[in-house]
Amino acid sequence: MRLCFYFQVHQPYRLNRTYSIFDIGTRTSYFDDSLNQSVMSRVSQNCYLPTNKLLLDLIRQWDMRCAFSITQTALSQMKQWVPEVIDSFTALFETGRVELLSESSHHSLASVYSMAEFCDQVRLHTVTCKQHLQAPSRIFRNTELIYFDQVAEAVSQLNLDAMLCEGSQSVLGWRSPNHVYRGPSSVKLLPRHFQFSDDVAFRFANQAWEGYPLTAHKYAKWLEQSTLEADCINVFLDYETFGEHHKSSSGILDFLTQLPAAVHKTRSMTFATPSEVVDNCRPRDVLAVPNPVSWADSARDLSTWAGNHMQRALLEDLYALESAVKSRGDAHLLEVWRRLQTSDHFYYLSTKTDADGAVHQYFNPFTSPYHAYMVTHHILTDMRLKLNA
Amino acid sequence: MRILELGWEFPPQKSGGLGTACEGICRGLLRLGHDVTFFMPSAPERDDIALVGANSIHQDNPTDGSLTPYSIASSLLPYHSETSYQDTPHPFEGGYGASLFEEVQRFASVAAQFARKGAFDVIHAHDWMTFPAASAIRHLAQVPIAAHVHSLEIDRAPQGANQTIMDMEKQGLQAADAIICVSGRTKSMVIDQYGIESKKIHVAHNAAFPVTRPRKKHPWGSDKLVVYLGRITHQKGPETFVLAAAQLLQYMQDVQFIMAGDGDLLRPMIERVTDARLQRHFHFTGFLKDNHASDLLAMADLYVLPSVSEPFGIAPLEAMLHGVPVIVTNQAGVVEVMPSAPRVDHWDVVGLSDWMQRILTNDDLANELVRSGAKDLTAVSWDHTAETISQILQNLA
Repeated sequence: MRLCFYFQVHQPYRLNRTYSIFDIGTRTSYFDDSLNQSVMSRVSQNCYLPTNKLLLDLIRQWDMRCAFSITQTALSQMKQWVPEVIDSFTALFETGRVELLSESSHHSLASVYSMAEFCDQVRLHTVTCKQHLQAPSRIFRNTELIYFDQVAEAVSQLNLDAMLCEGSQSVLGWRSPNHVYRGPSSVKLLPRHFQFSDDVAFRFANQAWEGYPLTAHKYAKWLEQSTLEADCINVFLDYETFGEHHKSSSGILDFLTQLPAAVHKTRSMTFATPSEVVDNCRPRDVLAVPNPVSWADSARDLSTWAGNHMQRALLEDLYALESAVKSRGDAHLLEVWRRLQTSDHFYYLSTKTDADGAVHQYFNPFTSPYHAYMVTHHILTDMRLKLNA
Repeated sequence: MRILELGWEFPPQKSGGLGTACEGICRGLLRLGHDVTFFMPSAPERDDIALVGANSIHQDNPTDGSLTPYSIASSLLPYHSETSYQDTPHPFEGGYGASLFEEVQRFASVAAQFARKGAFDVIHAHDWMTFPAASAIRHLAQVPIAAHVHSLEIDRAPQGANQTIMDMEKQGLQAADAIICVSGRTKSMVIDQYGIESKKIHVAHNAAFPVTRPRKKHPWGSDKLVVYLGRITHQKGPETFVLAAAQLLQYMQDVQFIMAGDGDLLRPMIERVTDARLQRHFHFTGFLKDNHASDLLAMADLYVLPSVSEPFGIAPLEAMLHGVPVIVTNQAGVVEVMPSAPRVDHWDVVGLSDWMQRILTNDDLANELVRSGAKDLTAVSWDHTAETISQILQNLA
């Protein structure tokens, strides 16, 4: 049985929360450099640097394998403010046991709003990765694991072999997440095991959880118990889980340190990259997923970013600028437009008030979704006026 | 005359027209040579005008002809630990928070203590928050009271008026020796609502400070800019504004609407505007500081005051002074000093939309409205308001 770990690395260019109506037409800096720099530096110190170092040791010692996706917005901020993080990722990729996934460059919702822009971003991400890290593999992951049939078709057109998806009932129906499946156009699908993933990502430090405290040994036991009838178990989560979302004082890094030994001890599991899973596991069935499914919130759909009218109105406005931006031929403007597409900006507009809403507060620069709306709207207005669109 | 003004807000610390009006009145009374002391819960720092905060007082003698700083020590300290009790000044928050009633009562007792030390000829109390304080002072010192009504509870909350506030309003108005209302509209509401005899009620219309700011260009090129500026609450009629905007956008596209301000209906208005997908023509700013409000008026092509119930409404005067034509509702007291401004009923969405279209598409009409409005305003100034008030106070003292 193959155990596949994938980590999402992402940071958005957060907007300048002081952008006011009087800045429209005059102020061109949409992004809060000092906030973005301070978040990137903090997360690098808490997570990227120490966890990369730890993984490098584990890979050397235990032949551990895993995969990363690194968004272009994260990569360019690393380059700008903490270039040593790029070096430490490079060291991981150079082991040959760490896979870099393909994705849409700006962690956007383009797959939902513009397939042309989506394909442009996937190609752009490949170019950028080649420049700063290495070429990504032929496995694709979409923003927050957003998946539906049309994305698989577009991914196939882009010559990619497989993609990750959420292992929820709306994707799998009655089927087990512990196999590889196939979508339209023969694209292979790796479903996320959301229970095992969320045990680490969300529940690890929850003292009220019956599984608390989660040790590597306990976790490996749980995994082993589900290896019957399993080809693979896919644990996909935010990389910031290690040291940032869960601070190192929670024991999360100790957990990771001990995990390879615990897995090794079971003798029934081996670490594998997504490519190795796809190459070795036969797809068990063909899945039809007409409506978008994601890994976000309990709803696992698009409601996190497009659940209310503020979100939908601004997303429509943003994507309505596509032809004006692209016909302008201004590389800087195009890049700014893409940075505005980063899904986090729409996440901050969510008005969900339950536990999901609390999660949305993380890294959120705004005092309320309505504050976020006003700022984002002013910035989009400025951009539209600039484009005369 | 030595006048003790009792107030709740003073610029830059304010939430609406009350603070602006208090400043205009005080400056006017000072210019008339009166000795004015403005007493409020927590005074903002001002270089030009000294104010008295109930929360911090190192008292000294009032100097003649100016507003004088005081501070008051009080033993009534909520939310304080035993240890900090002795040295911390009295924590008045001002504003209209959860502890408002408690603060109103405490303000009354501190004000009474304060007034006993000074010798005042007359007390001029602004709105219900200060009426208990006026009564407390009169109880001790037999000074006559003029109660100034800037707004009534039934203006602010026509459907959910707070009975405690209405009781305080009624008691304060009954006890006052004279009542000054900001409009004839408010005067008749005071009579209807509280059955107070008309002969002790006077009207002193509000005014606005002169504007020297030049017109500013806005970023929407040749589009027209229509501005709503005020708290976004039911009283101010934001729904009518949004509905009229939606209606107008069916007929013309080269127009931008700006809803400036904050309030409990800001969120529902944003949701409404985005639900109707009007957002490319409709902008929200949140609360604006005075200089930004003025910037906005300097860019506007039309100002709309869609109020459901407005005792006066200073903002349309300010808009006029910025050279901007205005549309007001019949339910606003300001119409009494702007006879030439176009007006509609607050529920008349179609009427409002029609007027907006007429003004925005006809520059001659817009210019004529600015001219005739300016003529209306020649008789309106804070000095003039202060003279009226001064006369009323003099008759009491």
